[in-house]
Amino acid sequence: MTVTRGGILVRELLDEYGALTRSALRRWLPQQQPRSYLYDLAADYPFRGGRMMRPSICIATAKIFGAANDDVLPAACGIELLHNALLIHDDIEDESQERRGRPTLQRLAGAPLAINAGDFLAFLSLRPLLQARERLGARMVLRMFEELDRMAQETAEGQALDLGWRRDNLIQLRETDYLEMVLKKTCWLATILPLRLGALVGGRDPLDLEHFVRFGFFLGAAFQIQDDLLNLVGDHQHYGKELSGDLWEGKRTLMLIRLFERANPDERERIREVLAPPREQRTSASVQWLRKLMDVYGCIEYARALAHGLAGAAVHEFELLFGDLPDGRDLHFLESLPRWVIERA
Amino acid sequence: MAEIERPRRPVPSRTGPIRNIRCLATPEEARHPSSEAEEEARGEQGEPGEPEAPVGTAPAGATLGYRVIEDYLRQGQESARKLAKGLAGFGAGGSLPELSERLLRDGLVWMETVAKLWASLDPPEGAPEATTAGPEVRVKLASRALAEVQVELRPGREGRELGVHPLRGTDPTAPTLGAPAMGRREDGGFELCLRIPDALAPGRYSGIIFDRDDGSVQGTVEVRVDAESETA
Repeated sequence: MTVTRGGILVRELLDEYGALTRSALRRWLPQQQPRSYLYDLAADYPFRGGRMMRPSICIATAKIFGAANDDVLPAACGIELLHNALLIHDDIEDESQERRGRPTLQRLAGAPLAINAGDFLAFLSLRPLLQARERLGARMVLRMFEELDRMAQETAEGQALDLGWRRDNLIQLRETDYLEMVLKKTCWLATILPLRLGALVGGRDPLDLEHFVRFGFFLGAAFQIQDDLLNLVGDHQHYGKELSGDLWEGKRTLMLIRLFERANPDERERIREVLAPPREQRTSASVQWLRKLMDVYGCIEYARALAHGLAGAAVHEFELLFGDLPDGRDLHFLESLPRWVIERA
Repeated sequence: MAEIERPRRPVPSRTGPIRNIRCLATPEEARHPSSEAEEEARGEQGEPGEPEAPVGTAPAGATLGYRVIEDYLRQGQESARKLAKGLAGFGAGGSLPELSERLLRDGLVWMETVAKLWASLDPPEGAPEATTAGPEVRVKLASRALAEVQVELRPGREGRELGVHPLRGTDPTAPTLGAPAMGRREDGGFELCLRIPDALAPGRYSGIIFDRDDGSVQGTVEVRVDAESETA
């Protein structure tokens, strides 16, 4: 695949802002006792080499609005710590096997210690924000907490829908149901919150943060669909998670919803039967059957095209939001993200 | 008279607008696939009509997305309106959930008050100045509607030429308020001149103050326009 100039810039800034955030994170993740029971576990995911998209979006947005790195790093660290806390809990809830190319934390340390490390990271994510009071003032810290509060509610609602649909074996879902779930579960933490916190810190509060919801939604939704696609067709080495893991976990992805919509009555019945039992009772043959049926009905191509449409809408929303602002690297980074999210391997 | 062939324009490569939003976010070669590439794609995908996404799927994705996000934002606005109504009637009874909501909101107001007090009692070393405009910016406002203007300008702007981008409302597709004029006063301070058109929809409009020399962001302007007229 041809790498575009925008794609190169995205990678450059992800590397640069990612390194900046990781370096700052070390301060919040000390190597102290009890290391093997808590601190090493808490530091495991953040230093496994994620893309660092969330903190990078936050830093770039803040800089577009005139902030210095030191102004926005506490918010970027808070977002990354919280993201890793939720990853640990998600992996337990989903019974996932791999994360960023290695076994999930609960497989390495056991679920009780992994849950505790996740709890610790979630509370720890508040600390950089509290410390930002020295630089940004108490009012700004309270505003950031309000943003976190809203995001926490939206994310929990989205995760509840995802888990509840699986528990009750709901399959006949609409695409709008899926997008609403993704808006809450993925977009708020992955894109909307980083944009809003960046604008809050950079603009010193008066900017209307509701502007950022549309762009964040389209960007985040395209990102999630591409992530789900990579789970089915990606290169295992690059992807870093179990291939077809979403089918093993019975996740209600756009491809599965499309498959159920297109399947004939007999196939629908079998899909229900395959997805009804818990993961450990699902067989390799039944997962492969689901995967092949997706190819027969063109579900992969369908989802890919839909993600392209969402990315196109993100480009449009970017123009409306940022079109008037002075040109620069950070602006180009945000502008190039919609295309990058659907082209990444 | 000899017949002269009329000059004709070349046949255009297309005769209608490009409505495929996919073009916005796909590589250049994907916008105009060669017939060879199309053949190849068909070959890879097996029999025609089987695994390929139906035409129009990408625009449908954008349409679906807009339906979801607009519903979501509308629901949020309705909830905010209901909450505002509940607050207006605080003290006049109400159900337990309503009272809880009011208490929560009051709690937030209380927290904000404490935070302001905290900040004023204990200004952190090296912290930036409070985010009010202070005497540096004078606002000249012409408006029939009730309006509140808030200007935040970063310190150290003396001697710079500043401009303001058009102020935008919450709905990015709605008309902008236009760009206020930012000039210098004789005493070296700034003067912001703003006229609010009578037909402007009530709401919150905000924009960026920028440095005319290097384009960097130097502050923000926010205007709240009330539905109620000043003379009402």
